[in-house]
Amino acid sequence: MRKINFSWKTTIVIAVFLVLVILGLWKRNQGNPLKSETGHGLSSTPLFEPHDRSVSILIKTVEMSTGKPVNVPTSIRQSKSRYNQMKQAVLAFLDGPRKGKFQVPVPEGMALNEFYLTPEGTAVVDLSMTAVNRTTFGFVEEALFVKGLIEVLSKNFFEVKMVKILVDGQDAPTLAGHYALGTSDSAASTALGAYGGPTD
Amino acid sequence: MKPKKISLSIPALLALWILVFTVGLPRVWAKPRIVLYAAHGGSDSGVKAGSEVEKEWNLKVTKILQQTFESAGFEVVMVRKKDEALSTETWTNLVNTSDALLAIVIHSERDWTGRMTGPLFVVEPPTRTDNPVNQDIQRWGMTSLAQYHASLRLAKAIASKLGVSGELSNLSDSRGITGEMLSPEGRIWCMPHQDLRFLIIPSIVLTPLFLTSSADLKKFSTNDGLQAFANGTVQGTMDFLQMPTPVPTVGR
Repeated sequence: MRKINFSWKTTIVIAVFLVLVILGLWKRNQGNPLKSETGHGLSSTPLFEPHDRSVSILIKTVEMSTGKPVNVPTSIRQSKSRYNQMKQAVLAFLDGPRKGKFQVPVPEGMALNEFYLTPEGTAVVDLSMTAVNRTTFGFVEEALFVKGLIEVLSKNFFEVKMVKILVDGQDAPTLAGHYALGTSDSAASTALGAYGGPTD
Repeated sequence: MKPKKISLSIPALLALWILVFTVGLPRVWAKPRIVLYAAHGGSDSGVKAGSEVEKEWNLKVTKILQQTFESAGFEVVMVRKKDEALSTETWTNLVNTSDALLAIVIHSERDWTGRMTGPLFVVEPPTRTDNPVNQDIQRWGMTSLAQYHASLRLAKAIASKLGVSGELSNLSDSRGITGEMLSPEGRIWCMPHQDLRFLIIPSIVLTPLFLTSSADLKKFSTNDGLQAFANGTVQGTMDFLQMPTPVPTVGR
């Protein structure tokens, strides 16, 4: 039987090659975690084109001097699809003003994972709560946020019949421990317009 | 004739003994039983504002309420007597099997504008059973229309005794607003609350104070302020239960 003898140079080359392969595989797995969700929702297609004109919508804010909810106008772009407009509206609310006279009732760290619209008119908003400090997010703020989000969608888009909120992709009982989600009729009825601020 | 009287009293005593030990004391003779729950506890601190911690305030207020209710002739079931965490299932089972007339959940709050002050009430809206998409009542709990109306009456009675508006807030869920006055100043919020959705007796969340309000903190830092709140809550509860309302003597 013939015995194969590797020289030390060959051994080093093989070892370096193996290390490179392992590093390459590791890097691929450790890459941007959002990449794996691309197909799920973080679509690479832009929400609007540069030449799309802007349109005004109303988002719910709180007047800091009184603590009362107030609608204020903001702009999104006139996109080709209503879905894109809705997603822009949700983002406009989440990224709304956190300084000044009118501020959005959105806690620091809250982010949009994904947004869907079902053929039945249910807007599904999947929110990330991992970066939100729960000790500064009580029932009042939770309720103002949920009501504000529902209004942003239902008052600006007639197609939205119901709003469903998911927390980190899950059908959670609450957003942050207080305001009860999940009773589907709750979102539906609220979307029908029970929430009225002073400017309504 | 004397021996005959004795012979009649023996069956009467026997009948009374049977009544007491088999049927139980009639409810009217017993003290009205209520449940108080100081929300959060243990590792769950609730909200914070500076050095103020919700779970500590909830327990402090609830203990004063317990004393005041007991001195007014109530039997009080305390869900939490110390700094401990209870699962939702544990404490809701305790409330629902307590045979109590009502439950009050104490939740101190915070508000980032710093403008809101207590007291504030939350009442669970009624569940729409006719809604075809509402298939998971067992999972999310159910509040009947009768239970909702009883809880709303309780909140209104206590609000009246605490000197605040007994109207529904205009932020309220549309399921509960039929026939009700709405107001931006309304202190009763009809909204789905995690601590109410599984309870089957009249129940409210009562926010005595906002930890972000210096006026509230000042008021509740004194015994008089705490006791005035407790007295109003007890008197409102007695009004709701249509009990004669002698003014509670604790702290007076």
